[in-house]
Amino acid sequence: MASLKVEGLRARRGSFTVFVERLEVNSIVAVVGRNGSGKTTLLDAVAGFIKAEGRVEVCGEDVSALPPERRRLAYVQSVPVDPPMRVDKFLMYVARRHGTVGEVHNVAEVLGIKDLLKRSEGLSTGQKQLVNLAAALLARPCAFLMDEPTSHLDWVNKKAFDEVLKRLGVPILFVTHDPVEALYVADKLCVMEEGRLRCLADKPPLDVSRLVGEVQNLLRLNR
Amino acid sequence: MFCNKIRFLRLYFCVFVDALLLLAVGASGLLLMLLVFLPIYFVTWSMPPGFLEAFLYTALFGAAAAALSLLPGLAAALASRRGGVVGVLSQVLYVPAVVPPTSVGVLLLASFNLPRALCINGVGAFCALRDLPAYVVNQPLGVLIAMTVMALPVSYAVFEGALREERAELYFRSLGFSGFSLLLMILLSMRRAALTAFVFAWVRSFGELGVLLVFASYPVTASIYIYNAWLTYGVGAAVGASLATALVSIGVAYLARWRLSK
Repeated sequence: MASLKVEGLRARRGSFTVFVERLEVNSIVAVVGRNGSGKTTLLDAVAGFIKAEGRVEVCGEDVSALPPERRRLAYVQSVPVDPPMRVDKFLMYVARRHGTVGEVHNVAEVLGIKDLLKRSEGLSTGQKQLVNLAAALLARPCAFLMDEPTSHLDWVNKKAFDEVLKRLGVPILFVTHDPVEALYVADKLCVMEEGRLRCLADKPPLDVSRLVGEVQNLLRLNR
Repeated sequence: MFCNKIRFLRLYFCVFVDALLLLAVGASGLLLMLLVFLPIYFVTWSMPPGFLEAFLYTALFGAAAAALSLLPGLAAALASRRGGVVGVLSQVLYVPAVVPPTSVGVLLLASFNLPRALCINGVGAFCALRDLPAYVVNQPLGVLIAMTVMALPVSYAVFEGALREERAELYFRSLGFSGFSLLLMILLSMRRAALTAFVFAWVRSFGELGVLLVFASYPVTASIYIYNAWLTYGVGAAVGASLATALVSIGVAYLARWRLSK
């Protein structure tokens, strides 16, 4: 049973149409594509935020007719949302709704945000993004939708965020326009072009770890 | 000078910045002269009685109206982002900002007098509400209603602008929030926009005359007080109150800006 399964999805935004014949997300699936190729429209349609034809199945349940709040899909976006209250209170509030109070400290530990728990203001974009991810994890979704979650982060924070995602091992439909990041973070790669999704059978054998290491060395040299 | 020593393109940029500063200083200076410095000449320090009460009433009712406008303003802004019929309908919140305030006063007056007009010979469903104007028109409740109606376009416009930058609704809905809790989460998350909307709506309440004059001229609020002072005692008597109101509004706006920039 796939965590997220999409079949015959057709969504329109203005005169633009996105069509996905079939997509299964059980690990990290990256969707790369140029601006305006339909990546965000795809996520919005899967999340139920815009009307779409076709079938969206989450943890074996057909959620096509359900509103976004009942689809069990957590949506993390490129511009992180400000926590509505102090970080620990926000996480506890979300956890209480989903019966995951016991997991709050573990999630904070795994994401490395324990130092942020007592803060409500002055969080950086990267820190906000990690808090957004923590709350999303506590909502215990079947799968994550991520729309360029690292596009506002610098290289170091981007790498840290991607490392966390890889470590978590949760199913994610990860949209990015950075092919290097897609290769680094994903287990499966898809390309969105003019509203059509094409998934590659195998991830290209590029030594991304080496590339990442070289960039890190370069950053250290420049310090 | 400095601009002449660098390349042509940068010279152009430099000239542009200077023109920008010149225009900004010119506009601010002109308003300061017209609205603060020149009128000081006419100030008579013995103001007609009732200024403090009028000022406090305005501050109190304005704050209540600004607070009341936040959630509906946010909800309408979210609905207009979603589009559809409700989205189009939400644009109605701009109406009080685009029609003359006196028209808003007249329309409110007509609406609240409707039950009395429809109560024929003391029989009918509307007769139960025929005394409604007595509780609203020229009453504290009327001031609150008038100020809230005028505050709605302010909070709607502020939230609509803020929502162009982020899609908080989608995030919180994906966490399972809906209904009132969703609205509250978004409001708290967008607290900077909420504070901006509150401050501007509050400041707006000091500037409101037309709707209050027609619909709720009692209890006397700052704008009605200034209008009456001018009618009864002339310009000098009204200038002091006007300047005090302007200074408080500017002060609050700067305080809010300072707080938001932290």
